[in-house]
Amino acid sequence: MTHSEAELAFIGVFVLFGVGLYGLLLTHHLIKLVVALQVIGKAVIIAFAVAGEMSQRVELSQSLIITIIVADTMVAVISLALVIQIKQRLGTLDVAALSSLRR
Amino acid sequence: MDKLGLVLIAAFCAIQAIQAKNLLVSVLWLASVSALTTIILFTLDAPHAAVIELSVGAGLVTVLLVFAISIAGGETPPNPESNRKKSFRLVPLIAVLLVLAWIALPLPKTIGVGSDAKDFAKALWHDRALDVLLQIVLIFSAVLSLLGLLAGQHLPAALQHQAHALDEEISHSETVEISEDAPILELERELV
Repeated sequence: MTHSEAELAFIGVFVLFGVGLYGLLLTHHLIKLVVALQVIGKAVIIAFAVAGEMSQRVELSQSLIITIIVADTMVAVISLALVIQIKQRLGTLDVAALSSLRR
Repeated sequence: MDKLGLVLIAAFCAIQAIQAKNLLVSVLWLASVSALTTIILFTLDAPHAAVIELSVGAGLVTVLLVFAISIAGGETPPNPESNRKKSFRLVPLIAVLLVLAWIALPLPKTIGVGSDAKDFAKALWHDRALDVLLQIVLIFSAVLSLLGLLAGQHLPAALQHQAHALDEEISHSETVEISEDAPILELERELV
């Protein structure tokens, strides 16, 4: 069973997605959570590029990738603003400490 | 093979980004993941998307993260368990995902080639005009919510008074013997 180059890149996309998911599940720092979300976003971007390559519709996949990049960046902006607010109001960025705070 | 190698190098950089102790180092590893993503997009015949990924993903997001770290402080909370023990959980997770990839793998080729535009500008501005409109709305709403979030210190006087009254009520109800002036966070720390 031989795979093309794009299909091999597709296997790597799963590894990258797994690393991002691991970070999202197991980190205790809010800024690290934003970093893990960015990693997952990059894995999805590469998956879209592979899909465009495989189906010969590179232009469509590029315009979709641009939409994903914009949405991902806006998610990062708003979550970082929330992080700053949480730091200034509650004084901590640890997820475990935040979930044990019952205000 | 070289594409798979590039994606695996990006995955290694992502592991470093997630496991780094220092937040600034973590952000720099994330920027390198973004740069590698750019190279992969170039090799996959998507140069426009690659340029935007490089400028936004490696530029803007890195600057934003550094800005947020400089405001919020870069200290990392101590982990309850050792890093090495935690990183073993990465293995079954990636194994499950690789099984999923193996199931999906003979990817179907050429799904519905036909009326698609061959020009990138035509594809973006004509076929995907709704997406562009949505992006503009998204950027505006993000800017507005960012302004609202970062201006949160200047609440209206009535709201501030209400919040202060609520705080006092909570501190009264939770603590009897500790003085009322202590902020709730410190009380929580003492209780823990």
